[in-house]
Amino acid sequence: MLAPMRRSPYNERISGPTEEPMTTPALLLDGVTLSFGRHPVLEDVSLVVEEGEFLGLIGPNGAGKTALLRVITGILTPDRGRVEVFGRAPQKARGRVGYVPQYARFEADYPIRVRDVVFMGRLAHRRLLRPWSAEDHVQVDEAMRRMEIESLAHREVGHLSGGQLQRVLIARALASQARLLVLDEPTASLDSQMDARFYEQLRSLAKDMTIILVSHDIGVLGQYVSSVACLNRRLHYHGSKDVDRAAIAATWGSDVDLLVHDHPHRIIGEHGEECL
Amino acid sequence: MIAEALQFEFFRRALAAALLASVACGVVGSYVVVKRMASISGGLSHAAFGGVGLAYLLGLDPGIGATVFAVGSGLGLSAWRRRLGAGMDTSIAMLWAAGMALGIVFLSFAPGYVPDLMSYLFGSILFVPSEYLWTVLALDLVILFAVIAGFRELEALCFDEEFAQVMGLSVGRLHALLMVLVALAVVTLIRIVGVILVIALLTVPAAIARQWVSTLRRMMVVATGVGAFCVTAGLFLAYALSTRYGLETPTGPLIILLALVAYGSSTLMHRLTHRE
Repeated sequence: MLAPMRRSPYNERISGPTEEPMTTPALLLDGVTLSFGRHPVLEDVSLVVEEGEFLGLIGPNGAGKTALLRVITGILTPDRGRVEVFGRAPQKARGRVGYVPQYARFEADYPIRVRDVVFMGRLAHRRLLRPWSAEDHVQVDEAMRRMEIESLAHREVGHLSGGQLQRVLIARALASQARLLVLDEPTASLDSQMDARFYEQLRSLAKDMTIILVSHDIGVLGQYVSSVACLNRRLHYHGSKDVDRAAIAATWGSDVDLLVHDHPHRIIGEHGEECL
Repeated sequence: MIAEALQFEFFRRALAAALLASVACGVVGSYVVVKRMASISGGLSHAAFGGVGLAYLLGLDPGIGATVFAVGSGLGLSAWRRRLGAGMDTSIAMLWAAGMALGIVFLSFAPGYVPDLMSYLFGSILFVPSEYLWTVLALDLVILFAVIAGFRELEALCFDEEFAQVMGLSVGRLHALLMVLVALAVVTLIRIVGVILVIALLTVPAAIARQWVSTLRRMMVVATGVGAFCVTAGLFLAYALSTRYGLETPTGPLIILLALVAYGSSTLMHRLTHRE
């Protein structure tokens, strides 16, 4: 088993950021603070994500979005604050969180086939020295069917397009039977035509699981998510997807123009339409 | 000529040693290639030379000194890799140089008999003692057992370490295991091609294999075959040059040159057959 690797004891504060929910939330962050050396990354982030929520996490580059996902998945341990996934510490919630990283981190020439990648999602449930069980095969097949990648099963991962690879990585997360799916900039590698289909697929997944999606693709995001959180080291907003301009301005530091400047191909449309 | 060479016991022993060592070369070399550990394996082999020097100074078996230094350095790099981060490259260079410097200084202090430096730097397969065969066989079995038992876990580590961690695998321990395997393979192969050329035997056959297969498992099998071919061809070539032309050529460098020619031919053949 993994030894708990907490650098500091969990914060003892009991009062949550909002009123106590009736059921255990999918995710609870309370006063999460993290720094890399002397460089602060997250400051006092408190957030409750209820089961079934489809949360879009937005913020400028360097806002700590990826770091927050790594805290949620247990890859990073915060300096201070409490993190609970379905009421447990992330390190003890194995198999409940499905992590879909930015695909660009892989070595493109790693020799592995699609199906074997999806099987990696079963590692949380596998005992050492045992072959894959019938249940493992069932879950892998089901995950591949949901992401419509059965025909790619024997393709080499390095030969996939960006969109295909993204679906493979989601299938891998689904195969773990995760109840919370965490995606880091999944559309960064897709062209905008594929975006729409991809988001539709996510929306259908969101019917029976909790999803946290990191993006700076605010315009399109609004059509699909059920709530939005704005992060720039601190959490500036969490609520309905009708984010007011004040929250946007607080998150991006000055003004929405900066956002437009940052991503010249998109601006925030009233109804999420894309403007060139 | 083949039958003639095989009449000699020393030649048969060398051939058996080379074939046994090619298992370590192919299996571990595949990890070295897919996980981009070429410079680490170079660092470990040069660190091992420090152990050879110290063993001579203390009157111990140089193989033990090499193993202790290589495994120790591998575990050290593994334990410190998170903290080293971007400094890993520099640390490997320092380890590399420290191993050589220590080895030479220790050897200069060693009383009495001074061993033939060239045989450690470039290998001495023609003079392996028969105990060496048992040592290589034991190392092969250890490597094969670890790789077969932990194949999926090691693959998850090499392909996507963060995901492996989210799945609850002890990535620290797995990485340490991988480093020990590399160190053991390095020590095995030093006998054949020497400290300086080990890095080629751990990368070239696996790189050739990678061109023709699409899974890690097959890559290991093909790399073992390619390694076996190169060492065998090198041995016979050295024998032929010596008996026919009176050229006493060191076997280790011949093996490496043959491997490099094989890589060139394989690349060319792959280009011709996979035109897209």
